[in-house]
Amino acid sequence: MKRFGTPNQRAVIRALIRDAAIVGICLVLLEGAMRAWAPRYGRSIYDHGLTGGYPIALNAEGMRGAALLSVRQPDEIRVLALGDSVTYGTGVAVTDAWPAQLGAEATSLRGAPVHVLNTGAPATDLRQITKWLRESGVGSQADAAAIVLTGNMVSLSWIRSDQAASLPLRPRARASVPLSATGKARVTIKRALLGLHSRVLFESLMDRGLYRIGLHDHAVSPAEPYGVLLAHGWRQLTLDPSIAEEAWVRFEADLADLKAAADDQSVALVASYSLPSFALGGSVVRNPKAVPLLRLSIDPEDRAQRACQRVGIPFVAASHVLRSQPRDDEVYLLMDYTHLSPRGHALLGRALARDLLAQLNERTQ
Amino acid sequence: MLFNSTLYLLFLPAVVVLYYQLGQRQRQALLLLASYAFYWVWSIKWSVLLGVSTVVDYFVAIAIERAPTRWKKRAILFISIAANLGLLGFFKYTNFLSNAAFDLVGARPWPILDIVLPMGISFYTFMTMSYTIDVYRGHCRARRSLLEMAVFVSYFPHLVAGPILRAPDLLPQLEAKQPFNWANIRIGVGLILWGMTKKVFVADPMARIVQEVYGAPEAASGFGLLMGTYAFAAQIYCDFSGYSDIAIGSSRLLGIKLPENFRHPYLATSITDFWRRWHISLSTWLRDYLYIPLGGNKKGVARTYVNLLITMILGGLWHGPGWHWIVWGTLHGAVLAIERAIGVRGRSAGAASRLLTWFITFHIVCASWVLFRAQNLGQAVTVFKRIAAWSDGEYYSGWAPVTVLALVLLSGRLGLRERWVQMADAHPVALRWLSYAAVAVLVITFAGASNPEFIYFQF
Repeated sequence: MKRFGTPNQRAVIRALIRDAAIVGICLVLLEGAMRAWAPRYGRSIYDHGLTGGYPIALNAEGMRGAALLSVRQPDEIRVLALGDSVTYGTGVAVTDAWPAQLGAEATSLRGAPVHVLNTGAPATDLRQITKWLRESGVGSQADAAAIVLTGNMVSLSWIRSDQAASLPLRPRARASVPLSATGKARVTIKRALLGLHSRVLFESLMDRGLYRIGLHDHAVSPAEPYGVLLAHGWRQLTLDPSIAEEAWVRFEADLADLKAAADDQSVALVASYSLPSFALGGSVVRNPKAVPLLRLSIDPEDRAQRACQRVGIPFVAASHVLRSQPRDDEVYLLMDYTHLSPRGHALLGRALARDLLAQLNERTQ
Repeated sequence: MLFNSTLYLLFLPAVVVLYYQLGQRQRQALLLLASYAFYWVWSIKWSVLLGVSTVVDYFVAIAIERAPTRWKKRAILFISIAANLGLLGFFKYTNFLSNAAFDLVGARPWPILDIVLPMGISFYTFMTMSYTIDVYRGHCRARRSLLEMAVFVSYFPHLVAGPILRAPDLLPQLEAKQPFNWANIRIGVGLILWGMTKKVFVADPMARIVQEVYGAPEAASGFGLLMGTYAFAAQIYCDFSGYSDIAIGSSRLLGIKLPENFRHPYLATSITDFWRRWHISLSTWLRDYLYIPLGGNKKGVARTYVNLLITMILGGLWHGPGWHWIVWGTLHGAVLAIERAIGVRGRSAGAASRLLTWFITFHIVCASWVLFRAQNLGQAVTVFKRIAAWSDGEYYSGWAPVTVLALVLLSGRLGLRERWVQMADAHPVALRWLSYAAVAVLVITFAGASNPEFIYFQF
């Protein structure tokens, strides 16, 4: 039988097969090592229907997690957890998100049930939250509300200021449809790929490298200066420096509306601000995406605290709690400077629980 | 198609593998098809223009060769040059000339046309022109094979941004059946990796700094504008020479050697020296087909200076329409004339003197980059004024451009590119593994991080 190709071509093919085998074996070994020693690299954050490897279960109102019972239990306290994706719990299980942590901590401190309804939805702004509170909040019979403010809300106060307030965009709860055999296979393969630790490792290393050398950067589009950086008074030559100040002014006005809505519903309101990881310190670990701190001109937690004081909302500063952690890289999700890890959520939830109970005690007295 | 695209990483190996399986005639057909496919990724419509330009100059060259008398040859050549320049002029300068006329008469008697500049037109027009001129001069014979001629004009490694090739350099190589040679493959891969590294890891990060500083020069500090200009110096060199390295390397994989386009230009100690090192294929083209026909230095001192000025001004206009291009060309032409007048030609004798002349040369080049990068003359003047006055303003990227420039200079001084190519040739196993890693990294970076365009695409 005639052999395939020339000796040269056969040698090339042999070399390529050998190299591919070496690469394959190395990848398998790396995957095994990562699974043993770095389980958090198995989480994929932004996949549809999953977040951080956790399935997203929605209640009838499109909110993440369990709904409140229609009949109040005796001695029960009901709390609305208001906010955006940080509250929603992007990247973590709903039981790890700060609303659940707040409920657990407050129940433990109080010795009686504190039920928390997680109303968070990604990319929500203050006016949407206020509108929801006015229109639907009353049905929840809440005693209190806790809101975690973020830089994105500040930006959205500016960018959506000329739009009519709408309700938060929540995904509709869908009945699960039985999958075909091919569909099941596709989902299984997709989940297996999403859970590949070595893939996440390569992606995070690549992402980190691209930010360090400047191929990825944090430039803000002058046409749409949104994102958490605007709240930090991001300085960029091509950006009007007054936009950040204007955004904060509008944000404060929105906060005042929210406070008024809470007062109308007789709901005690407390607020906190979730700082991004880079704002907690400039170390390489805290700042994996190499945000140039030189460009930041506003301390958003301080600014939010002063805004809350002016409109009469008690404020819980949480940055010192997050900053005090010895393993600071575990407070936030991998390569995500905005969303907290389960540990970060726990710290935030606990910090809020004490102040919330203090507020409620004050009201009852 | 872009060199820094994942599509090209698939396209090139496929072309190379097929190429070496075919006979000579089929190879040319493959190269033609591959070259047009390369162009079609950008536009199918405008590839017709490329085809028309090829066919016209194919017949013109034959007509020149067959013309019985010198003046008939000259007349045909004149028609060819007029057609080529007319084509280039229409696409590049119509609106510029219209605007200049509007400013002059203070009215707008006709509308501004919506003209798209066909990709690579400046490069392939100059190539076809040089071909007919070379046939006229007897430096090469007119090709009877339209296929050969079409491959020469559209050859994909140089099609979009050069180097500008000459018929006597490329056509004989296309005619011969290039044998498969591992050394060519190793050197080609080495050059491609080197070029891509320059583009992705030096030019693109610098582009971000340049974009911000030149995006709002009136808000930038004098220091920031100086750093932005240094960043642009690093960007344009690594972007364009990176493209040339990829072009030369890609061609080398096919066994075809393209001429070097850069020779460490920022180590030049005079502007004369700079133009022997920067965009060599353009500078030699301008010398051979413009400066020398104008009389070069054979018609007296004053005429030499005028010729230098004309050549460089037209060189500036080749880059694009605009007064800043004219000033850019004038600046280079004037400095070349001054250097000629004071006798600066090459390397200075002493180390201190060399350092000083290098420093001055480099900053003249940087000053010309301000004109090159600015959107218009007014913006360039703003940049110069703010640097000169060391104006207050904002800037956030620190000394990064100086660090990168120092690395670029050091790389040139140490001859790292040449050493790398030697190493790539000498250590095939290391090169193979490095290539796997580079391909993995580049595929990911090209998937979104790298700037998809090279600066010289706009010309």
